[in-house]
Amino acid sequence: MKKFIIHTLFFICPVIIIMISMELSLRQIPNDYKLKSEQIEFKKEAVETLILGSSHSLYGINPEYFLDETYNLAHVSQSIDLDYLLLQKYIDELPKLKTVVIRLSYTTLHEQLGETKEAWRLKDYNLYYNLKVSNKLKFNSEVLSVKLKNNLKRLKNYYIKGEVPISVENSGWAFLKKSNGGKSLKELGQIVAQKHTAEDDNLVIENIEYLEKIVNLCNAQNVKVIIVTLPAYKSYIAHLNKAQLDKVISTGLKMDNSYNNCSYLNLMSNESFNTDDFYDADHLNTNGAKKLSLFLDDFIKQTYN
Amino acid sequence: MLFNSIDFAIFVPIVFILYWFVFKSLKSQNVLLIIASYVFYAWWDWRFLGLIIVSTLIDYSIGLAIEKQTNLKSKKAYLTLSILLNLSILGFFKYYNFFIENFNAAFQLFGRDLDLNYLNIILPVGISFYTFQTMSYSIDIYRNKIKPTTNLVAFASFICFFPQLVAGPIERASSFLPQVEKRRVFNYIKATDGLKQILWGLFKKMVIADNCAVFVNDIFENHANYSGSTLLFGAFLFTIQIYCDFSGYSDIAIGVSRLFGFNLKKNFAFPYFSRNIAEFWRRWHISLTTWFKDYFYIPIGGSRGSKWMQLRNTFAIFLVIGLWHGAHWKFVVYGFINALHFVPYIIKGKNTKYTSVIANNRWFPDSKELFGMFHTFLFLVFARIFFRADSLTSAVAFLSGIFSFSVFSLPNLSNTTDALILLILIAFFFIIEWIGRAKEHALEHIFSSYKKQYRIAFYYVLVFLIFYFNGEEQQFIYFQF
Repeated sequence: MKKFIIHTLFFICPVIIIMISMELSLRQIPNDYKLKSEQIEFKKEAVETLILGSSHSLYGINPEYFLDETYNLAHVSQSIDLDYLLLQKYIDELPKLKTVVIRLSYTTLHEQLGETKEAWRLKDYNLYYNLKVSNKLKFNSEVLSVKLKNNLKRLKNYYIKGEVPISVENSGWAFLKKSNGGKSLKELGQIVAQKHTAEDDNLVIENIEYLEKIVNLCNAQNVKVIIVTLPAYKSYIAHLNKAQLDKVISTGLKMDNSYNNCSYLNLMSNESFNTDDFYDADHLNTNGAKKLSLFLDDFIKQTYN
Repeated sequence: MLFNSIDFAIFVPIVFILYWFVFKSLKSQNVLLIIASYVFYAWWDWRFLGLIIVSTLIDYSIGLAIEKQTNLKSKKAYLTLSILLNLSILGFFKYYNFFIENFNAAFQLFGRDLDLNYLNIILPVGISFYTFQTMSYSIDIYRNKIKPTTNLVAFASFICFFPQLVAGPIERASSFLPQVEKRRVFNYIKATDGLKQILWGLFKKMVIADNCAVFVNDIFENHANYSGSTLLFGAFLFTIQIYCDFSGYSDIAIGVSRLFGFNLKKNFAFPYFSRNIAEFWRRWHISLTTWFKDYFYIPIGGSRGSKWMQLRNTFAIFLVIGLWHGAHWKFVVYGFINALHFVPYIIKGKNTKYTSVIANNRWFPDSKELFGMFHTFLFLVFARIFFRADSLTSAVAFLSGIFSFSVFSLPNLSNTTDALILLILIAFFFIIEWIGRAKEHALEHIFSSYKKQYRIAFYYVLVFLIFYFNGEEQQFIYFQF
């Protein structure tokens, strides 16, 4: 038995040592989550408008165009349960907070990050925001949550090539730099719409509850909530499932009617957004983000000030 | 708890330490095994633990009752009760909606609308495996093959032993209960061999099966959009995936059991090196096929009697095996076409040919063996389309897609580089399996004539490949059965 344990430990030790070294090195690499958690800490005394949501908000709402001090706390694939946890964590530390802008996309009610192929991103909330989003060991570690192949690439890019994987600006906003694969907006619209159409509505009730919790949390602090369905390209809208889309829109309208501190804006087919404003079928580019941000700022000024 | 999860990688060493260092008496070790097994199962869904406990208590009591009876009639009554109870539990959870659907359809044919309601039933993981284990216990007592145990702890350990609880190998009381009732002694060779088998199982599951799944899922879900060659490639990958997924699971189960001093039944004997379909079924999911052979095929006549009787019994066993996989007509068809492929071998009396290892004491197979292997494998590639497709209709559409001119084009895959890497990994996997084909498992004596350092380096290569190429964590296919 002794021999077995010693031999096994000898075999496993190098693997464990490499894993620990990799974990420590990976955590040293700057990333958007770490940076944003630092930025919000730094700005928390001043923030008046907070933007939450997924990549739609991250790339589509630029705080630079808001009159109030605004910060964008959205992340790629961030689902409504995580929006709630982030808001819950920071709301008491944001004394000047007046408005929360939150997206209500086609997928918002039907998805939670932990249930998608992007679930590995949960580790970023655990590690860099100190949110307890998952108790699984896997989601509390860089090495265990991301494939070795991708982790080696990250290490090489940062430590050898000197590339810093940061995409966000000082305001928390980010713009899309990568190419969209050369596909036309028309082509992309159909592909993405199909990808975004849910197989079931198992999460809808839970996600509506999260939305209500967000509004209630804001209400308790006298904070207004603007729920926005962001503009999308016509080929995307054309291929959406009607029932899923109707559920999203009716939920937004219901929230608007039921809560005094809540407004719903459905800008999905807004005609002031044209081909030049889109990066791809469901994401705005820099121009589109400017247009939307100015629109939202105007809406806040007219409605609440 | 999945075998390929971090949770399991922590769970096993904890149980191992408690088992060998803290709970040293036989009884306490068995109690620990029961607790560990229930924790393991509850990790998935604690609500169904009750079913295992009920199943355990039923067959423990009935086993004792059968033994107590002096006349055959009462023994038979108790056995019938055991079988009915076990099949009722299995039938309710696994086949209820299937039967309702077919009842409704059958009555509609005669213009009557029954409209019986479906139930939203979750299939408890492993139910088909442990139910078969408990049933065989009662049947063996009835047949006087074994004596019932009076030790409830030992019996519960036999039913819920965590390495094989959710997907087998389906153990028999005659081989497993004596191991539970006897004090286990730690064996270094057995334990290190167990670790090797676990390593190979993880490689098969995480590197080969899970990477095949990425292509397979896409191709089968969107088969209407793909060319014939892509569909053929998808069917080929599924044939590899299902073997690596299931035999990988069995390897890990057997390997983990060895760490605890147990020997489990061999479940796969390199089935893709079979020279005909009969040999394949002797080497594939051995614990299930032998179960059906002993408790179904032989009682209905087996290979005794005329050729017609043999054929009838062969069709019967394959249809039942098909249905065991799930409440779906596609599985029945899968069983049927396998039986159909058996026919010429039974007629010619060649179904018992090839009982030894292929190319024994040779490096390569001869042309006849090679042809047999290729022919059997190709048959499985096509047969398994019925196994994997969502429905019978999808399977037929998939097959018609293959039999089109586009089968002569190059497959149109979303990621050609990944596909090529996967093919290289599959080739590596087959080479290792070929080298170890005469052994208990592929790594049993791999490179044993080489220096220890080379062997260790090879194990590190496998560890690296597992970490580097591990695909998205996928549940084991056989968990759904």
